[in-house]
Amino acid sequence: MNPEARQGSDSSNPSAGLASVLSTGIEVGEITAWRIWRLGKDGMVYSPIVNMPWFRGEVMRALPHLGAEDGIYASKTRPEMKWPPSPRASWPLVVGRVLLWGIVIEHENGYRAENARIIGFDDIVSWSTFDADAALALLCARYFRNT
Amino acid sequence: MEIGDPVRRRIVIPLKEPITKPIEEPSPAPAAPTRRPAKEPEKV
Repeated sequence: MNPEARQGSDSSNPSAGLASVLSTGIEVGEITAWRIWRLGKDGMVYSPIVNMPWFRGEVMRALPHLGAEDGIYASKTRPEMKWPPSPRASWPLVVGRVLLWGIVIEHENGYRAENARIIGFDDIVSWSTFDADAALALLCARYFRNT
Repeated sequence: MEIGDPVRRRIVIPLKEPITKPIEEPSPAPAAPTRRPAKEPEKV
């Protein structure tokens, strides 16, 4: 049985109430949104919280559920860099855009999506002496150059 | 990432299939090796 089909009749499920309140819309296309990644020493970008690498051209997947905190996070507007993000953070952060599709839980300021793919990197912010422009050029070449 | 409270659930169907396979899609299980018929012992 589809787990979401159970939500309406399962009063013990915390997402059941949300499911009845939130409307579900079906649309064709993709959502463009913003994200932040951590730039790894290997030249890959990583999710800053779960340390998951994002590979060139590949689709990241994580099914979001109502009443939970899962899914692939992205924001509706370009994130403002609150620097440093934590007192111990020393790694460069990358700001970029993703396409989202599939099941998407829209929040006030962002999304939790089922599928995401990188479409562009826009900025690198570093705490240390770091040629961010050169690094951004290398990163874009690595992820988007046709080979 | 602070994204606020949920406001709506959307099902977004892409116009075209993604270029690459999802990374967590399991690779197909290798085919079971076909068992060769036991070779008959050569008669001596």
